[in-house]
Amino acid sequence: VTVYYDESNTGRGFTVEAQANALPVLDPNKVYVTNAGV
Amino acid sequence: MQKLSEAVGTNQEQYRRMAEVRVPDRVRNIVRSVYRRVEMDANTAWATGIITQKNPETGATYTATQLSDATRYLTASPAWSDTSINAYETLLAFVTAAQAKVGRVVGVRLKSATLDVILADAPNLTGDVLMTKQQLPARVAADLGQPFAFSVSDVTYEPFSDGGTATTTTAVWPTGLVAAIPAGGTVGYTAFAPVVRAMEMVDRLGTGRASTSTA
Repeated sequence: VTVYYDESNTGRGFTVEAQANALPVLDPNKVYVTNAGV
Repeated sequence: MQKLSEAVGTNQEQYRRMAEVRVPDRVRNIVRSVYRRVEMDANTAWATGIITQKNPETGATYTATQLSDATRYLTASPAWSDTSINAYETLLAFVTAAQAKVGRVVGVRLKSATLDVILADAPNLTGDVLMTKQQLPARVAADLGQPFAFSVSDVTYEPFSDGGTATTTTAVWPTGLVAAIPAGGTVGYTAFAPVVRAMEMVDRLGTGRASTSTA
């Protein structure tokens, strides 16, 4: 996670942003799921 | 004796600490929320093979199917809660079938409501004593002849509903789904692309640097 901050209005404003460019990638050979309905 | 240099208002100070109003605390919470979103995306991808992206400005969503394989994403019919079905036996059959697809299975991931249905159909102990939730994994392991554990997840998350600030309570693990946990415990990985801002990109150009150098 990368955190950026941005000051504005000579220090009266302060914005903090946290960003992660994440993508879960499945291993197709490891997945076996059933919808049990409950 | 109190000194003038001490912070006044102990209650106020304690409240500020609990509410985490200071900037470092709030930043930590923002970072945690990012990790919670990654956790939810990873679980959703595993459970459904689908990832949904959302534009935070407009709330518009884009759904990407990562894995669409009818032999790996099944739908039980009838449901495990149906009286004609023994959920415990169905679980054993599910694990056996899963091992043909993913190799050795060390457990299943599910919600507690699904586990309750399995427990209700589990064989009784000697003297017709009902089996407990604690005894259930050991019994499943004994019947399968291999180690087995339940990974129960009922935790919820509050993703944004639209482009505004409204949120919807959403279960990290979708209701009703049962997933086999392969040996090693991983079903994929999370790829991270670097996060850069425009000024960093300019900085990397070399000439015409955005930042001044003292060298």
